[in-house]
Amino acid sequence: MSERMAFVIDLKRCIGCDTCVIGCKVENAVPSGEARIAVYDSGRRPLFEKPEGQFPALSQYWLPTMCHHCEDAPCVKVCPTTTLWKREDGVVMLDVDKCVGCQRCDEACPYDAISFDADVGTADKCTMCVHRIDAGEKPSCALVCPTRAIHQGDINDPGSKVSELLRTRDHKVLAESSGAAPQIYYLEP
Amino acid sequence: MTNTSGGTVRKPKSPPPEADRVVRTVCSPNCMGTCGVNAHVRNDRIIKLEPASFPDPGFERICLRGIAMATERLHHPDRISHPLIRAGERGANVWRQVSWDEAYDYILNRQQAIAERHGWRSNAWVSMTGNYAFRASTSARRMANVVGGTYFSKLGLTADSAAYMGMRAIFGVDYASNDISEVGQAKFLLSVGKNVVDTGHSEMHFLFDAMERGLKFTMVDPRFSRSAAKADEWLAPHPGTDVALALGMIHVVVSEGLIDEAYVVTHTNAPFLVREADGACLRDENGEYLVWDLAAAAPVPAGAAISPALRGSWTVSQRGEEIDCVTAFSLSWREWEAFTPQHAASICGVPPEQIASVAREYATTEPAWLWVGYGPQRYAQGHTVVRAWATLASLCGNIGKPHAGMNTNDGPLMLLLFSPTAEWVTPQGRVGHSLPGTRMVEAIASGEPYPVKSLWMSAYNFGTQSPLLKRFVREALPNLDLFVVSEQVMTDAAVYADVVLPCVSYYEDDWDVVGNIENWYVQLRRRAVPPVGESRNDVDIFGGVCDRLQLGHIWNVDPEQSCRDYLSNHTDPRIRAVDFEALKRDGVARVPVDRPYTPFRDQKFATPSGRIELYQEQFADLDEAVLKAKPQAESGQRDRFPFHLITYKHTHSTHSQHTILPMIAEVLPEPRLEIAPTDAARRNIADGDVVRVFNDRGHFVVKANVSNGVPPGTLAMPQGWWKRHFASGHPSDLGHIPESPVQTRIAETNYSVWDFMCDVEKEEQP
Repeated sequence: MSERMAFVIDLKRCIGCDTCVIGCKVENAVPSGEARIAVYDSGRRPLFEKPEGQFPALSQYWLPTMCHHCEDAPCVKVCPTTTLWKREDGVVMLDVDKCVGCQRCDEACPYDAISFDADVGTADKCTMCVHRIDAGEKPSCALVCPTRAIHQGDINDPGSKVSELLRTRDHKVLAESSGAAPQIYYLEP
Repeated sequence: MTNTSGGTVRKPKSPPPEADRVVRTVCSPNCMGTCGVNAHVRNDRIIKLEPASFPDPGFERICLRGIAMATERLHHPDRISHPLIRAGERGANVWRQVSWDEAYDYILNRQQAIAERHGWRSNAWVSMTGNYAFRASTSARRMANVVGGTYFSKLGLTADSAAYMGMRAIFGVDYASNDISEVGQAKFLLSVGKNVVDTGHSEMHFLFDAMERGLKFTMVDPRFSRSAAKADEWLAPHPGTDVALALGMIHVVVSEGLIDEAYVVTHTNAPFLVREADGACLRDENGEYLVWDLAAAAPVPAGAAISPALRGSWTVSQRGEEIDCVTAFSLSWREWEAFTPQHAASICGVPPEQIASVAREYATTEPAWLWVGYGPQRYAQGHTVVRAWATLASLCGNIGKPHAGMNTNDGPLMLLLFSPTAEWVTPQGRVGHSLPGTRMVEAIASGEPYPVKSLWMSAYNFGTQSPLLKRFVREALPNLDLFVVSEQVMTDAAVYADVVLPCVSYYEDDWDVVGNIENWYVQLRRRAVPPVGESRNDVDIFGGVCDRLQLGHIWNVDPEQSCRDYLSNHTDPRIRAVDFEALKRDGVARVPVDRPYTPFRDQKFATPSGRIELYQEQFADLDEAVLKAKPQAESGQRDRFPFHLITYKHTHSTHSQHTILPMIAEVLPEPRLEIAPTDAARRNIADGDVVRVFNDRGHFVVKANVSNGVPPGTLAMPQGWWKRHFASGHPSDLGHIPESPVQTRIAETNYSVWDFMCDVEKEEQP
């Protein structure tokens, strides 16, 4: 079977520390004020602590999101150029040189995973650190995550860590109804 | 690589630049995680940070703070790269760039004039924890020793030393902790205020691993911290009421017969006979502590008793005197008996059923790991908090047991910094003077016990991390003929200096050794990039003074040799056993300690009795021989100031070093005051409103975060923010350092950061 690259993110382990956000920015030279990863706090995106419930019956969880590298990627479908395209292993690529800045991808993405750099007029998003994974290394977010919450690998390889996690833990994808077949699997908290 | 949509594979936008070298060094602020890091360097700039290889891969980790520090702080716009002498009034922040020679002349002219008039002890040094390697961290103390100056001790100012003092009184050592990488064998973890998720997040994966294997993690925290969010169970006591909570749990384990009596009578002083009249322990003619031996039906030296009684009172005849005696345990129980879970709940706010169930779980699960953080001891009675939890652990027989224990902190970091090698810190036997840092403002302001006329501050963002800046500027600074600050950036305190000297970050410094606080590795710090501008390391900055005083032959040691000697001459044989060649080769070496690392495994305690001293005879005259709950410092002011304020450590910053970094500001841009919805509503405060927090000592103005995460009566806010982050004032202005007679007797009153009351109101917008 061909490779199918995916992220598996353990919501029990994610502490919302934003190390993945900053590690990614440094690894990929993401400009100031932009990010390829966003960490949601209990389904919202406030910058300040806001647990859910009434004291002391409270809960709070954190959820990192980046490009979901959808199997049926809406962004690739709507891209009028070939800026957005899919590798055979499933990674959704963004060739910025071809981007005309139409922002249709941004509108089509069910996960708000594409940012638009107004200064240069082009789209930007996570590429699963292909420059690293093609060299056999972890993507930056998985490397720097202090709690070992982020995993990346080939879910078609039954021997991979991501496959093992999906076999042994309850998991979900976000907005399954989008039909895009997203490839970030979240292990339930 | 083929391309399903016909394009060719290109590099991503802004391709990450390639490093021209990678240097293994150590991230070492005072988070105490001391992560080994690979600094990726291009054109003498750090472009990326990755975890370095470790013998135990569990310690291959970094975090956002370290990444931002390495890539953004060295060339921060506020970086000081040349010596500066003030060119305006103190505090005006107007400077003249000078040469190192001119700066040294300026400093030495004044220091020598002070020395001629008052002696060298009137020149003083103080340093904090901004740089956690031994050379950097001990250099101010070494400097005071070499010139015969005064060193203001840092322990109390760290606000951590109530924990040390509590531990010392009971166990005879200042700290003890298991190795975090061995938490996997524990079955129950009770974390009291150790907000490991926020403050030790690079260790959190060990705990998650353990939880996946069945460990139950119970968190005690007044606010819903991230650790509370990740815990299996959460107890939320009111701030500063830990002793009542612990006493409630002690009541349960004692009254339900869950204590380990055999352990208690053998290894603690609970069976010791105490004189009813004055609380002194009863001793025989040889000075041996006496217990009541049930087998002999007589008082017997503790070590010789066959069946020591834990409970009871007797009249003992000694040298013709009839002495009414009671066991220390029974005497304590008179105080503790009232602390039923219901009574404890009435003070601490934790439901009585929960107090009882957690107490039972702690006492009956093996191994049960008790962790006590620094937060609970940031009150005037902080030493008692540590004592209370240590008492619970000891009564349950959990001391010296693998994967159990009473755990604060430990490891080579503590040994390297708090037991410094004498040959290094007092070279050629030169010893200066020392005064308590928490009394620094009073000492300078009053000239007592002797005049202090100059102060040199290093590795210390005094403006944000102490309650003293406002008072220092008003009361102490006018008495100083010279105020020098060694710094990387212009801090809130450095603004008031006469001379600011540019200090390197740890990425620009070569040769230093760093320990860790919860594992047993030491690491070597090497230079990743050249010093920015004319900055120098702390040792060389002080060395410039020593050279000019003809003391260079005493001060100067080859940096590599100083690291080698520091380890090989250390007082602790475990540090001496570190293989320096392996450390030099790999950048990391393990201190050879047994696994699992278990403090007090031999049940030996460096206390007067050689036992765990649950009863504190030494404090009988201060009403603290028996563990008891006492009110917080300002509880009498609740009518005027109804709120506690917890300025907590959080994921995004260790103290103040990271809050000024641009990438950190992207994920946490500003302070927000957490306030409960009911409190906010009563004050007409909406989320995002600007509010004023105040008491009689000071105020600060900040936006509100109306949050369910804090209970009514408690305000909370991440700490580490600078004056620039507030429209007016600063949280540290509200604090104080109330005198603790017990702490002063042990060592020095601790800075009880959170033991004050305040109020909050909506700030009227102009």
